[in-house]
Amino acid sequence: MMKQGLEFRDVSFSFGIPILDSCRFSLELGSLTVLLGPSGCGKSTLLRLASGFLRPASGTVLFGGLPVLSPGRSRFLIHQDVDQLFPWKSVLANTALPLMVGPNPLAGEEAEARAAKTLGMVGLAERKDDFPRQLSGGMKQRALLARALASDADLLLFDEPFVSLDAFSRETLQELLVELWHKSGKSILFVTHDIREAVRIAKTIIFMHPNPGDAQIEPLVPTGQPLRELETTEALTLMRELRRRFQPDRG
Amino acid sequence: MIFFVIAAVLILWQLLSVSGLVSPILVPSLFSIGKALVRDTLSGLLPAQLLFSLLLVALGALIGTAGAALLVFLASLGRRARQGVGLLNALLHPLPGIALLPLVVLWAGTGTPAVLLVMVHSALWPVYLNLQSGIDEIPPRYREMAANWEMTMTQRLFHLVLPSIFPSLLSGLKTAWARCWRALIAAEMVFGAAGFLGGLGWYIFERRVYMDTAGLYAGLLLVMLSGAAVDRFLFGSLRRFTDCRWGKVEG
Repeated sequence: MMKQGLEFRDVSFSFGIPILDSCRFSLELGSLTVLLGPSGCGKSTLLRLASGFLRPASGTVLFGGLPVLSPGRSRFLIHQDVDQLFPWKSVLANTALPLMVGPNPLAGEEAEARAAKTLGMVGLAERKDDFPRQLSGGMKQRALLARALASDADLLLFDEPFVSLDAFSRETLQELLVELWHKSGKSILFVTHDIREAVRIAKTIIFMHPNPGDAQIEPLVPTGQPLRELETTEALTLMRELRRRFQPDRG
Repeated sequence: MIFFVIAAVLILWQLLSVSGLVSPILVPSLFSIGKALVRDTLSGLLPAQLLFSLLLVALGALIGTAGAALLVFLASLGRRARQGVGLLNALLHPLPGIALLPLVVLWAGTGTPAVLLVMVHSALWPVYLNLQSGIDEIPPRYREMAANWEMTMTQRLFHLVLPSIFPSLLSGLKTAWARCWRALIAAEMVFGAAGFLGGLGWYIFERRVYMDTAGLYAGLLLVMLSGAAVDRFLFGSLRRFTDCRWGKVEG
């Protein structure tokens, strides 16, 4: 297993206007990191650079010590929208698909056995033969979690996956995510603009400023383990601190 | 309701026939039409002609679909190629197959190959249009996932592209069938037969030559019934299956 996780070395990127400027940070393998920042600050761009869908204008993105030059199986990207599930495949077939494709595909039975196992872990064991349209929004997100978890990827990149869910499903899925992270040992980079979500699930938070500059990315390491109670003094202090960073002019 | 309409038409027909106002050669009695239908069904003539016609349409649709797939492939080669195929489609699609007949006679002579050529023309363009729009409507997200999972071209084709465009292909085939069936009967009438088998159109034409109007009406009846049957049972059930499986309808 690789020791080095994701690393950004002086990465710059622009869409006409600069988005990232000499951005540098690194994540240990096996970490659960939340990338927090206000809307439009370039979080998704950073995630697309990490997954290899975008190439930096300058600098290097590395994963496992190797430069990321194209999208690949080791880095699994998950979005918020549920059109990532194929309507003509059952939940089980959807979950098994990433294992059954690629340069070294698994046989159908083996892939489905692994998929069935992770579907069990997300609580969808009994819905595995259903089709995506028969599932609620929360269940679809569970299926996406199971699919990412069953895959052979080392790093899971989440792009605000829970934004469209109701508050209750959201909390349940946050708990599930942390639980699965513990069990699977995969690295997770989770993008969100929701301070509560960040404080709740992160082992490490990195904060992203909207304006590209020297300190665009600030690592922040909350003490303790993920799945923090939000009512504690410690969590409240952290949230207040983060809120101040969201709106610097409010002081 | 339908039953009453049919009953009314039949009663009117029969009244007209027995009243003696019109020559029984023009409006033969229901009984003689029924007799002709039974006679030629039992002798095997009608079933053979019907089967021949259906096989010809199926073969034409098959070749037309293969041709349409080739056109879609050509159109994918570049913007210019796409425009070229689009222009070809714009010019040839409105051309009724039957209008090609005189030209087809020069190219393919009379008989089955000529009819087949008209069938292929009738199927090619609607299937192409539907396939192309099916391809254009594949969510960009699918391509992204395919890249993320390092799917090979074959895997993309079988897991993503073909299932994505299947409903479009089906509606293309439905249109193709409607055009083919009409064109076929007409084409067979003009020069269907190379001997005994010439399809339903030839059968109707032959009845006219023998002044067997009862048989003629029996042929027309069969054209209507078999056309409606294919529409309703084959395409209807396929449609229900895809609507349900592809998530357009709950089911």
